[in-house]
Amino acid sequence: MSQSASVTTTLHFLTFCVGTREYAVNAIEVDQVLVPQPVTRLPHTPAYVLGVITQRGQVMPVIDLRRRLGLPPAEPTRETSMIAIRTKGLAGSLLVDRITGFISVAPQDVSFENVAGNDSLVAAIALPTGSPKGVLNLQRLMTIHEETPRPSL
Amino acid sequence: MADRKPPSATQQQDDLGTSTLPLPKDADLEFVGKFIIESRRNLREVSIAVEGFDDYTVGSGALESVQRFFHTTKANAAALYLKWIERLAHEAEALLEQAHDGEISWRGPCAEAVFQTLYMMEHLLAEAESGLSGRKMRRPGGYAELLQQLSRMSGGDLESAVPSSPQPQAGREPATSGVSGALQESPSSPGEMTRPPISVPAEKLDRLLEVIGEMVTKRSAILQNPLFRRPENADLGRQMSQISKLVQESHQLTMSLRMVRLKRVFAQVSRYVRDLSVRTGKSVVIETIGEQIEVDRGVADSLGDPLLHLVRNAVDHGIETPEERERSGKPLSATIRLSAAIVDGNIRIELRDDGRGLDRNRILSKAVTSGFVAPNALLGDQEVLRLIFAPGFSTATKVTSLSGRGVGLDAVRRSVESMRGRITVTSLPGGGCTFQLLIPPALAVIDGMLVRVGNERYIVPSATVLEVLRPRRSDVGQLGGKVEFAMVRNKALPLIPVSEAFGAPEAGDPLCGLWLVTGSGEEACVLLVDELLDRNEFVVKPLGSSVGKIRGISGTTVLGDGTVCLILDIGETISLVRREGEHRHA
Repeated sequence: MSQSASVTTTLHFLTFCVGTREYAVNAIEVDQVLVPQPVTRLPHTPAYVLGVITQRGQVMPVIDLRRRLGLPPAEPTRETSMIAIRTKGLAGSLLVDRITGFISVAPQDVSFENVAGNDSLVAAIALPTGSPKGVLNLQRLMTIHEETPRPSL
Repeated sequence: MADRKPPSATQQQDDLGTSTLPLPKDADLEFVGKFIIESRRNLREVSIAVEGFDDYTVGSGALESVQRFFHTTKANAAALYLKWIERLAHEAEALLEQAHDGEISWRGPCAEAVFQTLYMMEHLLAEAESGLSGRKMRRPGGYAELLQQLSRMSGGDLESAVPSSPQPQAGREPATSGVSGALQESPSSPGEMTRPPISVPAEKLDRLLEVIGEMVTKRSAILQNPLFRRPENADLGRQMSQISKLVQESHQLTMSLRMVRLKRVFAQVSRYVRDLSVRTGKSVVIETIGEQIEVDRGVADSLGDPLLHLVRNAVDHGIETPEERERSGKPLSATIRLSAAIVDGNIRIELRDDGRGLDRNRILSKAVTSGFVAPNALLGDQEVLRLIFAPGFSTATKVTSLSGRGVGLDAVRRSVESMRGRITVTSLPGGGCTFQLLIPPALAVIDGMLVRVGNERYIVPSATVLEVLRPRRSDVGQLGGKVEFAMVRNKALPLIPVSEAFGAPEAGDPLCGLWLVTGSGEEACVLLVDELLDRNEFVVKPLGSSVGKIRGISGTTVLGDGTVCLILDIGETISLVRREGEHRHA
């Protein structure tokens, strides 16, 4: 996140809509965009965990981003998509309302700032042009715990 | 604690004086190789842990991890007759224990000595490695000095310790290379050298197996395609079935890469028991059962250390001297029974000895004096026995070269837990104790029943199901208008609807579904499912790193249609439903 000048690699983001807001994930962390597929329900998990699917032989959870971000669930449309994510040992799939595109930004044009009051699931990314987009904190977003953890002995 | 001293000065003389040694004749090359690989890995980890040694504060765990490293290395080296390594680890451990107890400051000289010891370990491992290829092992320069220094320091003499130059080894380096010039090649020709095992990252093998597992699944889907049954496609069908055979074969091959028999672990333990028996003068016989069981290589590799620890404890503390055994009317020869079985899809390993058993009162009083529990605490037997797994707990009154430093059982528990397993102990005072390790198969194929529960499907491990019944009206027992128990062969067994454990929608009628009888004796109960869809072998896949442990679920598998199916942990499923029931009644 430091803007140490000499690094000129362009950053790529996949952008998508959840509710009325636009979000982004670093393209490096995106494995594949999937057509929604049948999900196996996972008991004892929060409602935003729709269940598990298999993707390239690996079992991964599907997270309904609407519910994860506190929005009411919505009926799937033709535009509803799943984004399979693979990052730092975590694998999971995000259910989003609509994929909006792909942007490339020079690092110096990006500034991250935490958006308060959102459980730090999202950091804002301000772009020189266009509306700001939320960049998701995938680590936090995708780590799932049992709803009522068993009391440890 | 006060009379802790290195065993004796005379013992030091035997083979520590010589500057070269061949690898002992009866050393098992495979195990030495494994030991070297493992120790190197541990050494790396420990070196990282002690990097911040100067900032160490008691309780950070860094000191304990180094202590554990020396303890484990000592034990393994002893089992493999690597005397130099064993001796050095022993001294370093003794020193660290004093630092741990706060008897001497670990800072400055002590930390420096530990660094030097780790550095020396590296050299010793390199020597052991050259011993593997048939050469004599050379004693690295400065070894004897370091050993003396460590033992002086544990004696409380910190002043004369280390010459504070940062590289005290440097001056001795030429001497080392001088020895290496005189290095004797053993007569064995290079052709006889054992090929060193290749160490492949487990993740790569796992990934390979995942991909091939996927191919197997896809293959079944393709083979069911009606296109292949048309006469005009006969050729295509034949080719497809050839490919299918190849896929099957590569799947088995990949599986076998990761699966090994428990035999190699058990053989290591047996050999160690015989060796301990000689060294302690206690006559011990070891019986092994179930060594033909195949387990994931990772599991087999991780089992060695905890089992060696446990048998060492058993022989050293649990088993009485022949005289004592005679007095209590036991056979002079003690028996250790090591058995393995697959239970509920898990690997269950039991280590039972017929020694004196655990002394509940002694554990409790030791726990109280060491501040593990409050003096007035009321603890059940199981709770008391569990104390032996606490970090730093030991009831041993004297330290032997084998055990008694109290890091043992903590280390055992940790390594079992790192395999996502559980360890429990039961004891019969005067009759011995039994350690039970329950370890999930890191990777396995299970024979399972695919069942429908409401509109969902689950897999029940076949091994847990004794009987499948279609109930009649008269088989259902009611309590207060609600179906509560099932009559099976005139016995009333608790009826557990699987749907209740997982909140599955559309729970079925107990009379329209199927009953799966599971468990025996007190544990027996009946699982209620709606339909039995298939019985087959399923490749177990983990739930994935993003999802923690989910109650009642032991893993997943991918069905022929590409959907994920959850595999039930029957024990947990039952307790989930029971707890629900208790809440309702409460």
